[in-house]
Amino acid sequence: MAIAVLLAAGLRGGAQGAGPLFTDVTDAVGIDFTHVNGATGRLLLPEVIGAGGALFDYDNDGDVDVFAVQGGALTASGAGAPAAPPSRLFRNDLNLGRGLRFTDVTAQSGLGVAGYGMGAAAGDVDNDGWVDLYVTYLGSNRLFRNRGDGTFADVTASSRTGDPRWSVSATFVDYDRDGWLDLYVVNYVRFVPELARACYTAGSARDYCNPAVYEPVADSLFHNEHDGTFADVSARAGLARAPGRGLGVIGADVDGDGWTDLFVANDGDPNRLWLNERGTGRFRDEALLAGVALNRMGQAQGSMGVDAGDADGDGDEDLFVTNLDNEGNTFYASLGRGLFEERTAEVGLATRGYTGFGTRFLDYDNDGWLDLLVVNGAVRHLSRQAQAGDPYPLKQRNQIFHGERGRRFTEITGPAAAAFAPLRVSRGLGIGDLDNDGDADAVVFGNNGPLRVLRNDATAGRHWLGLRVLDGRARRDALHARVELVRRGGAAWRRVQADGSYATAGDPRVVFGLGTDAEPQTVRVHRPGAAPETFSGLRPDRYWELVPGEAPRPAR
Amino acid sequence: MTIVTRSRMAGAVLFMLGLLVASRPAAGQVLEPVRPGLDAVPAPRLEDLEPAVADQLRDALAAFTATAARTGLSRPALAQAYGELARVFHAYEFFDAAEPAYANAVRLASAAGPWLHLWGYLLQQTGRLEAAADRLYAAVRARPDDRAAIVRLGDVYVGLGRLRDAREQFEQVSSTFPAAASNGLGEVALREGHYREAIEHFEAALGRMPQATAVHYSLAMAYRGLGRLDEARAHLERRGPGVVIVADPLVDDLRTLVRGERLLVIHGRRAYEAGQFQEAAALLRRAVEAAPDSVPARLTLGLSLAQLGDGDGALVHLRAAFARAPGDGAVGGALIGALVRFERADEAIAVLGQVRTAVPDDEQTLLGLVLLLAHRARYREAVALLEDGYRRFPERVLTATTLARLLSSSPDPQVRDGRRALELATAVYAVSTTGADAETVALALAEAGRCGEALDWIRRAVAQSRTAGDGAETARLTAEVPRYEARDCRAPAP
Repeated sequence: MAIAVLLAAGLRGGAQGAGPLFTDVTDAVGIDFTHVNGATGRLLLPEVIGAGGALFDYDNDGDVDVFAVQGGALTASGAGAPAAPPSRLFRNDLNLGRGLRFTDVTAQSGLGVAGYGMGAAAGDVDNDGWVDLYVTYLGSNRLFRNRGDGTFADVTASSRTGDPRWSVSATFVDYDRDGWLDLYVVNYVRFVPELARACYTAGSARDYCNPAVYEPVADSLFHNEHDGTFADVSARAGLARAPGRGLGVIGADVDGDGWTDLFVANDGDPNRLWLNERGTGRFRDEALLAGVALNRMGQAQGSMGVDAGDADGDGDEDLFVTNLDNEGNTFYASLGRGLFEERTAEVGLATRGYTGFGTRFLDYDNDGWLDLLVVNGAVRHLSRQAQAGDPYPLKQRNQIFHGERGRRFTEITGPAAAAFAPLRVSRGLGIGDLDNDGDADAVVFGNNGPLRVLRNDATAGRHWLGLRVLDGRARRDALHARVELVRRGGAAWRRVQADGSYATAGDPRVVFGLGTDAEPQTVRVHRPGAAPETFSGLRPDRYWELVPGEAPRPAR
Repeated sequence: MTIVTRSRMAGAVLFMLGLLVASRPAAGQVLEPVRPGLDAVPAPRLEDLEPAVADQLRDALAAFTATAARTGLSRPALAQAYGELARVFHAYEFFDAAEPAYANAVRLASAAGPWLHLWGYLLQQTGRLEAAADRLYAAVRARPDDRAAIVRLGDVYVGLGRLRDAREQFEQVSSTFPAAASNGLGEVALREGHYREAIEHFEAALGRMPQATAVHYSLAMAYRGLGRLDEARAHLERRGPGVVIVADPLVDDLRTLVRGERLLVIHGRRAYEAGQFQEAAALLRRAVEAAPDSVPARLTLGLSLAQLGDGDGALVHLRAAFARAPGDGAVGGALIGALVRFERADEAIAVLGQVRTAVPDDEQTLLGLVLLLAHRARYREAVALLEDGYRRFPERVLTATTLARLLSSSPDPQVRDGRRALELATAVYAVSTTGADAETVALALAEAGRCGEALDWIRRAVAQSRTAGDGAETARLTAEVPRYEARDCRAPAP
């Protein structure tokens, strides 16, 4: 045992000392994408809000592709100007044997649609085994059905999912456990460029507005009717009369009742925790009593991104929410039964001075404990950069925190994580194993700047177990299922998730870091509403497909 | 394919370069260190600021430069000059300029002056709590009678999770600032999981400062910790924005440095938001005298006067604000709201028409105008506007619905058109199937004289509303059913 500990310690030191934890490989892998926010000096709020994207395997070839959402020019109707560049789809050609390389397949995909885009959600809405895509806009959103031949059809009108309001994040969630993915869309504020407010700093300089000057709008819930259409059930679900300036969303069963709940991060308004009322089709907001609506001092924060994960290893889902630079981010530790307590300072995450957007728990070094990534970028002019003549003075570095065995997080942004250090304006963060080597890579979606691909180089010598957890009937990713790694020192929990972060869908596969443990593993899959199912004999260092009632089989 | 991609990329690059070139500003002035070991102070870019603020900062910079240039200037005198400059920057929240100026003041005379306290406050404001704790601790060491700094230090320690240190601070100020001490001790106890003790402290804080309604949140969390959820919910209901206020003369004095109209507008807005409309109006009248072109001053003064029932006075200022900022949605909205409230609907229509000229595609503006026209019985104009809106945006459900309802049930029978209304209502129902949408179909069918079908549809509307769980809407629609059962089921016209 002592030898194992020493080995593990040496391994960690070696991994960090040998080179960078992450390497920016954007140029080498062939992704060339720059977000355009359309700023013309009017300082319009949408300019600083986008954008995100999606990491999803659109062609079912076993590797994760990248969809990047584009902004454009802000025109009278709020739509993108015709000349603005479109969103882009990059196909991962890992399986062609050339290493990690991407090819721009936007033109043939049908996803190259103009519009002032914000974010994306990915999920197989028609249970045909091909992942579909929902793109949010400043203006009507769009649902793209994956035809399975490398192309997508815009089915917004026929599916009735074109929420015309300003939406940012969305998530696919089977909230009623009928086997079909429903859609929750987070809406922000009512905004018309021509009626935009002019806002000023305390020192009278023009600056971007606090969203409080705009009217908040309610979110939308669309129920999947199983026939290619969705029904807007927002009113019935109890959401329609609950406006808020929403930016982030995540689905998770926070009260352990087997029904997926929804947490919505609101910008300047109390967050909402929509508890799923067990198959009635209704939700009730319990964020205040749950302790996640506000910070510890009872103040609403400018919340943007969110992730859920069992950060402290006690078997339930904790929440991490990103906020404005003078507020700091917030860590809500789950107390069980849907109650939380803010413990940001106690776990070492009370670092301020950064406006956080995309965020994800991940085990970047495969030591078995969740770490944390946060990408940043201000929303009000940073006076030092403005003073220096920077035309877009919102740039901040990103942050990486190492999880210290569930007790604390230690920020390690620095020489070993130089890929996070450049000053940029970052928004979306997508996590996925782009090169299928068993560790979590990162895609950072910039605002008025470039998309960056950060390859994980931190896990050499560490073992891992990769899982694609599928739903039985539809053979689609069993989103929001929980997976328990059964081990002697206590179970580790992960969730099948494509949501969270900020306006960005992530790789839904689950990866458990095993450290030095190379033995076959046992996992227990907890699908919402189904009895737990155990899968044993899973050899590490490869991906497995887990289908209910079937023996595990190696994934492609 | 390659050519298309490159062309698109080149277009994007040119687009971005164009924006950057068009908007790249010049760098601001930097005050180089006057003596070795001091920091440079980056002054704000004065050309970005309102003239009154820019002039004040220019004066402050000139005064500092003149003082610093004096030969034989003592360290305390130079510290004072840096500190005064820092205070002016700080008052306007130019934190990056204020901070090095405070740092220089402290380096030159660490124990003298209020600079450590203000520097610590600045760090607390900007969320750098570790550094704030260091400066405030030093401030308290230098000036042990600075009780406000002790409270701030306690608050910062709470934020950092240094609970034992925080408790020590709050215990020191229990006689000077009893409400703040109780609240702080409550927060410490809450974090330690000592819920009963926390409740005692929070109750004491509220007893002394009942307007500190934010304390109810912490109190609720303490009750929740004891499992007393009903009491927790009751306190959550009572929570509000009021915080425990501590008199901190050093910080309060910063506000006095803010000059002219801006200060008055800031204070006026605060008074308005607090519901103190008389005080708000008095402050904002002074702001308008100082700066007659100030849109924020005119807007908030107009709103305050409207709250006081002074319609004529309110409209004078709201019209003036609108004339100066016709594209500002808030100003337009405030003026229209006041015109409607003070029964000047025709002028409201004119203003809304002006707004609509600026935003011809905005659905809410169009619908607002339509409602006002209908209010003035100008139904033909309303229908014409809606037809135009629908022609340009046939996918807009609200526009189509409003038009269908007007064509079905307008009090002016001359504008009614059951066939056209049914066409619209059916199109809406194809994409939106609420109870209200079913009622729109029923109204159209009734106007078209198809009463049997109309009755079916109004019953369907009731059922859909009931299924959606909307009790009020179900009751309203149910009350409509008898009319559809009558021989002439059309909506009545006066």
